Amino acid sequence: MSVVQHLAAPGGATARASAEPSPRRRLSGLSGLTIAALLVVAMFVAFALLAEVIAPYPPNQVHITERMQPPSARFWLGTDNMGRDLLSRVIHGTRGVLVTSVVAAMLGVVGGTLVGLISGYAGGWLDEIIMRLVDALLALPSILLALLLLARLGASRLSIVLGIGIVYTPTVARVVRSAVLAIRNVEFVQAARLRGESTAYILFREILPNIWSPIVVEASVRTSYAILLTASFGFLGLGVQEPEPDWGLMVSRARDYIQVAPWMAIVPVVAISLLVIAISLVSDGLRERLVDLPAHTHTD
Amino acid sequence: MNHTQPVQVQIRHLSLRYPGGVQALRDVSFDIHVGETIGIVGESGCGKSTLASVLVGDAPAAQELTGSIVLRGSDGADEGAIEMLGASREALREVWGRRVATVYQDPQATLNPSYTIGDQIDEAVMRRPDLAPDGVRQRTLELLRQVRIPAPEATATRYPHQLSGGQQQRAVIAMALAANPDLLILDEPTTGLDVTTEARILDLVQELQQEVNAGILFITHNLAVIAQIADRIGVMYAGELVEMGAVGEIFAAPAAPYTAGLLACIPRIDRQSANRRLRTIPGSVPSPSAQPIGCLFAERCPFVEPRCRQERPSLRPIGEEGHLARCLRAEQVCEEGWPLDRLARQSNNGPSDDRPVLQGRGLSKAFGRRARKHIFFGPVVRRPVSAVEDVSFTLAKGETLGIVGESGCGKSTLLNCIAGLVRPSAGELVMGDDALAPVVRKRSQQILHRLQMVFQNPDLSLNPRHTVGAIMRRAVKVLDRDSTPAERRQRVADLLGRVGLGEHYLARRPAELSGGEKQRVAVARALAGYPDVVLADEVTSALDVSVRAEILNLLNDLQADEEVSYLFISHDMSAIRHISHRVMVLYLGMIMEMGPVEQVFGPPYHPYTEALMSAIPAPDPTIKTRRIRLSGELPATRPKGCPFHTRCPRSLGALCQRELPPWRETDGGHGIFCHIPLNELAALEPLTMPGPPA
Repeated sequence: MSVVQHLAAPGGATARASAEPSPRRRLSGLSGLTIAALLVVAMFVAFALLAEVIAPYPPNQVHITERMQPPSARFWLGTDNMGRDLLSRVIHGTRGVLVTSVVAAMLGVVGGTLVGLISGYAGGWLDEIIMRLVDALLALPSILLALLLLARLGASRLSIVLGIGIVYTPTVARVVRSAVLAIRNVEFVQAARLRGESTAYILFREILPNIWSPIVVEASVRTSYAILLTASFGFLGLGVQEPEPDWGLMVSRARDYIQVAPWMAIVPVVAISLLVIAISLVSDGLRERLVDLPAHTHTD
Repeated sequence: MNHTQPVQVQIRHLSLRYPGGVQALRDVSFDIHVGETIGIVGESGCGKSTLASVLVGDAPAAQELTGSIVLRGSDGADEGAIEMLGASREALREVWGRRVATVYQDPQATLNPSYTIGDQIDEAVMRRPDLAPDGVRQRTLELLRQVRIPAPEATATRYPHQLSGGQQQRAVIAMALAANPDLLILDEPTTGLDVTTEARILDLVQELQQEVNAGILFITHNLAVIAQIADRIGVMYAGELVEMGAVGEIFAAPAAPYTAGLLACIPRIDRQSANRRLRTIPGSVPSPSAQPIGCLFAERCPFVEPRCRQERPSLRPIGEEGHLARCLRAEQVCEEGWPLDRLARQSNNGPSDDRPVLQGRGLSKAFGRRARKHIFFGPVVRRPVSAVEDVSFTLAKGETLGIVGESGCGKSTLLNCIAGLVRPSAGELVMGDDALAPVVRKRSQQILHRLQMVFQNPDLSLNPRHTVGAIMRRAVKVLDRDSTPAERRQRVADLLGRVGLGEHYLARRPAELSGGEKQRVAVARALAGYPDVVLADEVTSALDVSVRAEILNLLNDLQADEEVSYLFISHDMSAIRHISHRVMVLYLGMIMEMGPVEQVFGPPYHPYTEALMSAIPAPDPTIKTRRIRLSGELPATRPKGCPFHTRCPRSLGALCQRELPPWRETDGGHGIFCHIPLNELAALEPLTMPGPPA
């Protein structure tokens, strides 16, 4: 008779009984990468909230003798062609980028959630019509579609928000619709129908709370894309105008000096990438942590 | 008893713990002899399937696995004996698929959808080194014949999705037999199948027992299946073997209280339970991480004594040789049996008057539309598929109408039509004196509260994001509009009390409830508006045996107290027999037979009812059932003539193929839809030879 000790394989599934995570355990046990990404996002949020306190100089303060200086002890990330501190401009630019992209993404998520809920729950011809419209919008590249909208709305921060929001509505609508389809005929929804509940109650009280996870993940993904789009519009000169510190605009201005002062372009580009990547990593982490409903299998 | 045969597998002191202290197996020891079938039975979470996976050397997340599993050579020879725990992967690879074969519950998950059945069995056959390559397909066809697959040559060239569930499971069994295994593990092989298919797979297993010389380990939650198939039974509770012995011995005189309780709480197909109440096991399975000093069953045991909580009973011999039980008071348990339900309330006497609360007239439902090849012209390429055809019924106050049939017979469609979740194609519904609108949206609040529904899957019937309190308050608010907030609070507490749940459940979410508790909340929710009719859609099918008994008792008590009527759908004939006053048998959407429960469950039988009843394994090895097996599968569309003629063992030939049968009724309101005259059907002998009285 032998006695053997088996050690748990790393990352092996734990037993079913203990698989139900408590809310507290959901937050702990995040991967190191996700925590690092969260810290980066937190840093940018701090920039946005406390730019005046954190930034070493006002964003538009011109140091006329120190134009196009490489990074130094005085100007940590160097200066631009007008002698403005790049670090201060990046920090001050954060608020604009974050507010624009977060509001725009939220607009898209709220709009898409409404469209997806209605389309998925209604079914039939209404669903058909909505989904063909969604397909038509999805067929156009998002930047092109947003440009078209901006051309109608005129260049301003508000129109960027509206443009991006409208562009992301169909994408989110698709995701939400498929989540709704999965539970629209589940028993607790049928029970609500049998009680004579209104469609609004069923959509917002019975279905919506159960599809939060895909919506939250979608919101974070949309935010990171919205940052890219916002920066692109700034680069194209469709957003705010000089001398406002805007990351996209900073890259655009730096083009003329790329040979002599590459840091002018590198600094805002790194800021954009860092924020986008960090938010993507956070949304990946969220995706793994958020637990979904039990599988919706039906017999008979 | 096969004790004369040599031992094939020797399991000793097997214990398994998962990380987090979950004790999945506790000191399990038993032998499997050559050619013997051991049945392992227990409710979910008792460690049955864990035992199976450990036996095939697969316990991936185990933290601590101790004990010994010795697999001996063919026919129990010393040569080739191997200690499976701790063996190298090379040694185990030799064992897997060759000497130990497993058949799991879901054949679709076992079969690879992109290879033909023949190719997959060939692959299993080729693991045998002694076979010449050109003999492989030969052997495959032989195996397909052995598992009674019709037209093996043609079947071998088909893909899994082209076969029915029963045929798929046969193919999996053929694959398991391919290498002449020494140990064959069948893990719930019939659980996902319809009763009629299950019966034929069980027949096959019984025939294979004679033909193959392997030790068979048959794992199931279904005591009736075990009664029919096993030589010896092991009963598991909380990862522990609590009783082991010959099948007749255990069914006649169970010595472990858990076994006695399990046997006591299944409804009987052969007779109505006394007082329409089932005995139950109170409480629930202890947490798998619990480490009590005493007996694991003590908290639920009616025989419990102080010493039960102080010392852990060991498996000890009781009565006849080979009968082991883990109980300090086993002799007494044998003698007294599981006690009757002490909470027995007033008995349920059935409908008090004949006034119908719900009537259906000529209900039909067809799915899909007729389509022609060129939209308006050309041959018809698609016709509507009729799921329910011309179903009429009445339901009296306080009555239960059971609706039974195989899956795909239109039970659920009928219920959804009545609920208004699916719009019927024809027919009308009358509730009391008011006509019911065909869809739920068109029904007024005055009518909605009178017709509520309880669903099959307790995990999905309650919104996981709402607390029990929120769910109940909403139901009371919507279904009982005139109540004041204070009355509502009182009513919620009342309702929960009614279904046996205390006020501390109000703040819980569905994830914190067991399956039975969830189903209780669902029942309470349906009762919120003082309904006249509750539609029950397979409400007990997803539940464990002991919980099933509790829910059936609950429904009975509520009916006695509130005079609510049930439309009770189930594929489980014994539950139907237990709870129904009248029964409707559906086949392909048409009523085959309808009448009072005692008359439907006795001659004259409709041939379909007869076959359904014959297919159900009796939870008692002494009951002998006349064997009638349906050939073929449920047709996709209803054939002309009698819908049942394609599978009917008593078909009269041309007449049945040509014409719809007449509806013949006896004086007692028992109707049969068959060409065979009633007196001929009445002359058939009863299906079951009853066992000893309870």
